[in-house]
Amino acid sequence: MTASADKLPIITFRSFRDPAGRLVRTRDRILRVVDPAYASDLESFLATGTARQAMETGRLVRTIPVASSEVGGSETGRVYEHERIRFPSYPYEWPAEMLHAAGVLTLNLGIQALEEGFGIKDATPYNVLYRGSEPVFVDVLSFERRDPLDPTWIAYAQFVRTFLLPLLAQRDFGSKLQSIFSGQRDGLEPEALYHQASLLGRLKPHFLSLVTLPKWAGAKRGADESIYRPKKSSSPEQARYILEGLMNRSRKQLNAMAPQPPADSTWTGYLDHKSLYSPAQLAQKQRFFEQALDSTKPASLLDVGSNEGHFSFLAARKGASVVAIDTDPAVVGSIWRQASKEKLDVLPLVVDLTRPTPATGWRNQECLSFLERSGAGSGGGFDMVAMLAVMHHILVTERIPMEDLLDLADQLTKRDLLIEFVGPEDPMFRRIVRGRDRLYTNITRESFESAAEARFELLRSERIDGLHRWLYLYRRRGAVN
Amino acid sequence: MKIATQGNYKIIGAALLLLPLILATPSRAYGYADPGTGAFIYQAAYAAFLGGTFYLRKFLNRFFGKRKPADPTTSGTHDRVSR
Repeated sequence: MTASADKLPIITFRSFRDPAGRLVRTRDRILRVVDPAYASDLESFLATGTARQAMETGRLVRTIPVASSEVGGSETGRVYEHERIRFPSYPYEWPAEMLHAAGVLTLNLGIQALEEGFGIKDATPYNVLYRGSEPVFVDVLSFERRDPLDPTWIAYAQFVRTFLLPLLAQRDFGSKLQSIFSGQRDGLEPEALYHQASLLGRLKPHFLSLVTLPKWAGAKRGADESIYRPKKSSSPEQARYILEGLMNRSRKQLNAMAPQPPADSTWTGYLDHKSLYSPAQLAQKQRFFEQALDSTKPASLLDVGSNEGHFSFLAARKGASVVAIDTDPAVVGSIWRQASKEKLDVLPLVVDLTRPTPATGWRNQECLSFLERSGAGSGGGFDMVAMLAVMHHILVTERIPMEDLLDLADQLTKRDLLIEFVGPEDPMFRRIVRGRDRLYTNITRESFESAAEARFELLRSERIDGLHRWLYLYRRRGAVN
Repeated sequence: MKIATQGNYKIIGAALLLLPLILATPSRAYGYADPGTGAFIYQAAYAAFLGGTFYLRKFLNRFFGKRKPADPTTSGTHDRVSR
């Protein structure tokens, strides 16, 4: 968290739904302007044992009060500064494992806060970001002082819509979270799933309580506004007992939806049993990669086409903060499992570089595009970009021109590019060409080197013995070491 | 006499079980998150059920002298709630 007065002219507002406050983002700082009416609640919450412990352990975003002059002094309200999470990510970029972990964090904090007289008023995955592989609850204004007699968790339906039902849809119907959250900001309504299930499927235990019964109840009394009429419990103890019971039940349901490691997907185990690399060739590639890391010492690295994260983990173990992207949710999920288990600074995301996540939300300003977050067009966001065994997929399968790919690499990296050129004679290249050889006569090692060296300076290169594959370490022309 | 006392407890217990079905329905929705419709009604029904088990536990604890580890009445943390 920076303490310097960073009064930048560009101040953008990216959060506005909660009347309690707004988020202000300057170039390097995340500030929150809190309405005076809600400020004392927030102060009290931040002083609770729950909040202090969660901030110490990194589960809650670190938050300190700052002077209102930090946002130009024109705002009425208290101003807080949040720890900056290096790379924001959104649920439509997460595998099911990460959505599940975000849900567990939300419920755990909610149940803990209950013990100290606070409730959690919204429960959406957008309240959670990832610091590496660790989920961090970032919306401190979600916690509000409870009416002790109120037995309602107003955010229950939102928790169901945005955590439980997407995980249920993924588990039972193979729905992709990327499609669910790209299409619906606030998740899935029970009605959307009800019609997908068979008659018997509608009576399965979790489906019954999360979809079928709410769907029937909504159909019968949905137009009756009296259901929202305020009612109170007879005692604070009873209200709290009910809320704890509801949240504990939601936690059990969430755990029942926990994704299991997949048996197989197109890309799982790629390095192990589907790849053409022999152990010696893989070791050679790994040696080149490690030497590149040792000589350039990147603090941040973008691993494009990370597969199961073999090289991301190597980079993280050498101190880099890694964002690993792949198109297959199964392999991204497996990266998260391992990174989380070993506490490695790897943020795995389901992102296709040839169709990068667009900016979303109101005026396309609520959630930034992947390229904007990656610093494309603003000097690059990573000390190193690694593109290992992925270039041929981008050039052949997606038909992206080589020069365009190198231009994008040049925009994403602040300094270095580590790239593997896969020649047209390579069996994997041949497999994806599928007889369209005439389209790719321009892809040669010479044309690649010529295009690359127009943008980068060559530091090292090496052919992988016995393969039509070459490894290159490039440095951007004019990059500061 | 003893049987009569037990009968009285049963009646009181049944009344206490029904009471929360009326009282423990959802309170005002002052959050900004969409409370939904079907899920909100489902929550109300589940809250009513939990409200019933709250009194049932309390009643059983008193009658049988059992102490439930999760008994919320023993925590007393709501003393800190001022509003």
